[in-house]
Amino acid sequence: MKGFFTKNGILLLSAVTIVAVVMCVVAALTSGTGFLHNAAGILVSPFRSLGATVSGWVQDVGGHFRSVEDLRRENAALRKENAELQEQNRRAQNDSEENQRLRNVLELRQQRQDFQLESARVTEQSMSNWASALTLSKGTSSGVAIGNCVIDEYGYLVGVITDAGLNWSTVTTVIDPESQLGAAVFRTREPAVVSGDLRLMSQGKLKLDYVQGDLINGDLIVTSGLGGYFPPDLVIGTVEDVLANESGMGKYAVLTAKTDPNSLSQVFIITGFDVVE
Amino acid sequence: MNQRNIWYRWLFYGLAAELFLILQAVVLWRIRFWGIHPFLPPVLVAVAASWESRQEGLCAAAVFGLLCDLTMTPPIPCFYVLTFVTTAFLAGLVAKRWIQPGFICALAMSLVAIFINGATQALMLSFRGVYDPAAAVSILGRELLLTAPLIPFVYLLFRRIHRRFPAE
Repeated sequence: MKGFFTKNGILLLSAVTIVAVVMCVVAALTSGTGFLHNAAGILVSPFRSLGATVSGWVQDVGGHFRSVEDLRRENAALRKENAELQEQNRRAQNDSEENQRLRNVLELRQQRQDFQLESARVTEQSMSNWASALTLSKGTSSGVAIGNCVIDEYGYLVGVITDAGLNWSTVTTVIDPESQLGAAVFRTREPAVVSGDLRLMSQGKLKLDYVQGDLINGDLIVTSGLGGYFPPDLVIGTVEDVLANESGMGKYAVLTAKTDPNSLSQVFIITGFDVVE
Repeated sequence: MNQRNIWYRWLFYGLAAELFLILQAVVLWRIRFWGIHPFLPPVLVAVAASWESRQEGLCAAAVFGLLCDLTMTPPIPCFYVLTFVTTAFLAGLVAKRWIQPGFICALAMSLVAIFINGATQALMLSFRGVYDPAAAVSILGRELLLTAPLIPFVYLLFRRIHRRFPAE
């Protein structure tokens, strides 16, 4: 084989060159597809197809990677946009809630024009199972004093300020076992005493003692305002059950507090009110 | 004694305690069964004090108690300092004399710590005219039942810190 190419190499090369030149000349002289050109085309056609297929596949793969990369970029941008929109939505929701609270307070201010209200944020809620207290963001520098009543946006009594610093104060809620205040049955104006109870505190309930007249379930209990310590007619809760006390001589009522201290984020401190004798 | 290890260990105990306090304030506080939620702070003091020397345990309890007094509206000033130092003292005593430091010791001292905290709270209330022993026992029992399942988590994290930074 090696000898064949050594001996006939020049002849072979010459023959191939002549065929190539003839094909070029024929192709140049004829307008249509010549026989040789056609034959060569037929021969190389599968290779062309294969080349085209491979090339297309490579292009597809490249395009696929490019589109994946584009999709990734687009996905990242969409995620960012989504996070921004969610943040805006959260803010809008907070604003809307605050707006609603302020509207309620505005209504309350119009109803009770004798109140001087100071808005405060709840900065800490008592984590103990033995007490119910809230720490507020306003203190003596805002005119808050021990004994001030604290209400929610609907005007329901939350509790009474029991400790006040320069820019903070602590409110002991109405369900705390140590809380006690003068109350009245709204329907009959009968006076009574509302107090927190260790047994009822965990259920968000409190006790109404020294009840004289008749009570029915659902009766609204409000602050009496007697003595001028607390403003009158602040809603404390509703009667859930009327029971006989241990001696059997008297009765007491279990009240459901109108406000849940654990769910509050903003409250209003009554720093001043008109005393009605 | 490897002084640096001791510092690192207390630093990590502090971080772990902070983690559990955040858990208490953000999650546990909202999980209420029978109107009561688990209360972890006494457990943190008891577990750390049962591992460590009495002096270190007492100092840590005082610092942690002060932190709780400043942030958690105590019934009287320095309430948590007093109860936590008592807990740490007892934990150190028990770990040294009766029960070898380990899970049983940490569990027992944690339950004692919750009891001391609850009983002192009930005592404070009775001094102020709220005397209802049955209600106090009921709250204490529920608090113990709800907090007990969380003690192993505190124990495991504190044990890991204790082993990672040996004192000798």
